[in-house]
Amino acid sequence: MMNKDNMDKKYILVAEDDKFYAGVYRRKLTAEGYEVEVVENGQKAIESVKKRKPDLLLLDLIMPVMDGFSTLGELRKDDDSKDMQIVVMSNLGQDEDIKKAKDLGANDYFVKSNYSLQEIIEKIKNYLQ
Amino acid sequence: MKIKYKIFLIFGSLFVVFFLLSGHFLYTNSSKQLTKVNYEALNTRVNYRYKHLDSFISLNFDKLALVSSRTQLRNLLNNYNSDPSDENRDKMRSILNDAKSSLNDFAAITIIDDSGRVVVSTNKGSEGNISGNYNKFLQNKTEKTIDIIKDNYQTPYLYFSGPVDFEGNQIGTIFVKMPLEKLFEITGSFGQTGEAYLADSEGYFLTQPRFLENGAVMERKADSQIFRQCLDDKEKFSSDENYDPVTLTDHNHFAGVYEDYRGEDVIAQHLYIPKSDWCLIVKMDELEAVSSARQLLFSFGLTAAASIVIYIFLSAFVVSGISKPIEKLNEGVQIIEKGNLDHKVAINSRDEIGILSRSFDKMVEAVKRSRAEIETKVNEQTKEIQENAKTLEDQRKAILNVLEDVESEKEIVQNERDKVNAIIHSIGDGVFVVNSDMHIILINKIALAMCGYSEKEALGKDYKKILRFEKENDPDNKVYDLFVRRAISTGKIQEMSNHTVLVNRNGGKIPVSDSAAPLLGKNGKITGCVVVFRDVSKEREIDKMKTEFLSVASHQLRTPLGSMRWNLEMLLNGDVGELPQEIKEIVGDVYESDKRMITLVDDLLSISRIDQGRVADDPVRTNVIDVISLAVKEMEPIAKNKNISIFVDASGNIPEIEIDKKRLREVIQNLLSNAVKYNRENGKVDVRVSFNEAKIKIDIEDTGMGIPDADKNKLFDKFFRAENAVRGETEGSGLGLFLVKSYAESWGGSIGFESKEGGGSTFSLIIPEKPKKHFLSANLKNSPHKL
Repeated sequence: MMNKDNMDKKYILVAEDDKFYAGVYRRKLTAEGYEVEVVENGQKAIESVKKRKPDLLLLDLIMPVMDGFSTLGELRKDDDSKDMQIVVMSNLGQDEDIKKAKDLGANDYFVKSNYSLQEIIEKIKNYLQ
Repeated sequence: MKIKYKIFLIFGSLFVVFFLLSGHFLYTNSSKQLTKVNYEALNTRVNYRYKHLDSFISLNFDKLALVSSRTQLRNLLNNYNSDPSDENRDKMRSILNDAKSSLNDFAAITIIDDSGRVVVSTNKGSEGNISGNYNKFLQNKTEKTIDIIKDNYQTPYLYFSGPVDFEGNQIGTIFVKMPLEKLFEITGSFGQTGEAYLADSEGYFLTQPRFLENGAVMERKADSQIFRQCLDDKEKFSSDENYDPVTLTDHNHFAGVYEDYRGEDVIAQHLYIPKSDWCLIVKMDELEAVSSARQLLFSFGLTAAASIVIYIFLSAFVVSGISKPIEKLNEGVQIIEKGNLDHKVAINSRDEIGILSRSFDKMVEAVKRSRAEIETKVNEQTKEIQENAKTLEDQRKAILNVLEDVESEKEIVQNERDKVNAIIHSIGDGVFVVNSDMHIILINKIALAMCGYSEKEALGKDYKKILRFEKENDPDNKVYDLFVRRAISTGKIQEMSNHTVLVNRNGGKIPVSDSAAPLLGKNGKITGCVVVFRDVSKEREIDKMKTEFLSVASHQLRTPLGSMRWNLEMLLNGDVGELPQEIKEIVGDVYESDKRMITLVDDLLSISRIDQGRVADDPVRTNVIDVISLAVKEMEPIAKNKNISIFVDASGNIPEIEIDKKRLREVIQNLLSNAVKYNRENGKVDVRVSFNEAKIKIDIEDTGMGIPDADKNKLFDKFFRAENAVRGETEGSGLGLFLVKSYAESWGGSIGFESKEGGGSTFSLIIPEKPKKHFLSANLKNSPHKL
């Protein structure tokens, strides 16, 4: 509803505490034509989602204040955000982590370092089609 | 009790009872009869005495009348009444004295006047006296009276009195005095206890009773009971004066036995004498009356006693005649019983006992014969048994010798066993031994402590019930006993696979590491298995910490490497403006190095996971050819750099399989990457895929440097890199083949190779049609990651 103001521009919320990654997301996704907001922890992400529901949330796991697992749990508890698209973007790559995140309701899970930026952008585009 | 005494006693008692009964009958009957007879005799006596007494009284009254009726005396008395002269008195006295002497029974004759004064008496001294004693005569002066009166000296005398008349008028009263003894002549005693006596109307004795001292007359009272009957008769008589006293008494009626004045039992009869108002009583002791009966009883008793004595002798004789042979027979039986079969009872009588005796002798003879036969047989058998016993004894000695040997062997074995026990118990690891049935035959303290059972509980049990080994993270909690079974079946020492846990009694899981070694018997047969295991909790803890560290470290390493990769990629793609060619190449190299570092981090992480058995599959339906084609496509740019051609050839129908696609790709990539990396320039890589016996086989053949023989068996070790590969400055971590082997084996497949140094290598990956699957166990699902 909110993105009616921006018409076709999809709105991506990124929760990422690493400023280098944050920079890449902001630049690249903006360049790809998305409206991007980057927050540095889970709590802020939740606050932001409450203000404006994004079309996609890219969620890091290891973050200060509130980590990605808790954020995922909180968001999926809330009716407004339970169907929201959330893709975990983390450098934790263990099977247990992946399973846990998926059990909590992540739509997908990518180990950032294992994918090229191009591959990631392709996947994001797929989610936002 | 012997029969003879029994018979004797029975007949003896019968005799005694008979005598007692007949004695009693005899006595009671005869005494009754005697009493009756005696009573009748008493009747006769009393009648007789009565008549005697009656005539005595009449006689004496007549005598008195003779005196009083003398005319001379009457005239003199008449004259005297008008002229009391001594002359008249003397004349009268002379008449009286004449009468006294002629009648001689009288002690004195006296005449008194109405005033009771003695007019004249043969006892001259009493004349003129007045005595109250004479009042009795005056009371009935017109009647003849008889009485007993005590004189002034208290001596009783018998008196008869009567009137003296003159011309129709009574002019005086005359009485005579007689000594009482006259009456005694009439009453008196009879028999031994019999007596008759008289009693006055008040019951006082009038005659001296037989058994009392003199002086009882008028002083003591007679027998009361018989006297009372006499009074009854007096009453009857007074109502009818004509009644004869003799018939008054009921003579036919036996009045019974009374106690007399002495207190003795007596029988008695009485008669009332109206003339004198006396009672005549005749009595005798009952004892005397029945004395004949007693004598009869006594003689009867004597006879009875004599009979009994005779009976005793007779019966003793008769009974012993019967019992002697029986006793003899009995003695004979006892002698034979003691074993003397030659004894003969030999009673020659013709009675039943004799027959019995002879039959008995015959029987003993038969027994003797059969006994002799038995003895012969027994002797034969005894001989045989003795021979057997000797043989047995010899055998026993032989066995004893063997046993002694066995015993000493046993001791040696025991000592050995003690030694082994001591060693096993002092080993710091858990040790137990099972036999071929998998039952525990030995277990040390450490093993017991770990499983939580006591030695008693553990020994003899199937080891799987006491020492339950499982694979760590096995969702089915199945018993893992492959290593033991293998040790027994192959006879080779088996290492327990990694990640084995011991489930103790309380369900607690202790990670253990162990090995199983077969026990070989003397003949080389496997008789069991020794299992040694130790608690590796600490090692496991350290492993876990290591993994967590690696996990954290890999994340921390990846983060900068990852962001570098993307940033470099943006530079290379010209997202921030086209780079000059030279810079672009440098940035490209940096990009590749960065990627390799990322791979290295990933490999390290994978290895640490494999080390801990934390490989979890995400199996999906996968076409192996597709995975290979994709990997080849990814590898082609690098291959092109060295001008290497890659060929893929699939023969036959390759089925789709359920496998973790990511890992399969990792394996193929690794193998393919090696085949390219270690290949020569212008070389080629052949990838052949085939399906046989439910297995997919992937051969990857290169034309590279080959593997030196010395390195062949270390090729799949962690961090190992072949000597020529290091020398050739090819890049690698030495982790790739280790991962390939680990994954291949985790699916139940294998990896192998053929190679010749300088002659290329062929790696063969075999994957079963249904690969094994691995899942995360619950306790590892949410492993924490604290950064």
